[in-house]
Amino acid sequence: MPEANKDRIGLQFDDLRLQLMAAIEWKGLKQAQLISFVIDTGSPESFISQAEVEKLQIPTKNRPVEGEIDVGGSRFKKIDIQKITLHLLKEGSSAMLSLSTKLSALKTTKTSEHKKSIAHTLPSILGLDFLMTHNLSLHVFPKEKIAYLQTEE
Amino acid sequence: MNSLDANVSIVQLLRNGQNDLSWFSDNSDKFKNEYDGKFVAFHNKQIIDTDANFDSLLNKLRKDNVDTSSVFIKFISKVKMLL
Repeated sequence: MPEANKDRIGLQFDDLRLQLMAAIEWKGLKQAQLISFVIDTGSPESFISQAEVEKLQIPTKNRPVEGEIDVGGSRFKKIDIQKITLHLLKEGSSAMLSLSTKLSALKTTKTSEHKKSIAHTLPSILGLDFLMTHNLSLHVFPKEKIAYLQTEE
Repeated sequence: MNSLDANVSIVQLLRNGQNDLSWFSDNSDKFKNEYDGKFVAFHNKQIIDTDANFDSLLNKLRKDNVDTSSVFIKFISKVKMLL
């Protein structure tokens, strides 16, 4: 049972990776769209993958480049996208936790088709920065395949 | 759509998404045998289309007027990826 005044957001196991299902919205978007993130406490940063940026058609044109980052052995530009809202489903209810947040979009620096193809295999990631910013704790019980985020006061 | 309807709609979208992800995960071994090295688009517990190239798959979905807002595209490989 969740502690009083704390909400739980269920995570799903996918091939021993923790996945968070979210609905994403940004200014100008007609309806929320689905996006899944890997929760990766080994990552100090959070970002939306190139594949998701292209699938969701998140506007990146004329947006500032924040720098570069290596992910999965490949180098990407980090693009500053407009503020987004992530809606997360609270466990055991029909209520949502809606978080206004800033994430970077990734764009590969490679030009070969093979390297671009590899870039498309990378998932979107929520790292430790996201958990800290939004005051979320992570709870994992691998044997029971139970995992969730919990809001902290 | 008013605010309440919009919220109900998003909750349903999320539930459907979780169901789809569970289904995908439950069938991952089978999919690895069938679609190794391919990008797979799925929705409502069905594979919609596949392609070895992400851009080609996305183009096919859009050409078929598939609403990609609730479609998942995942890369399937027998080789594990470490981030």
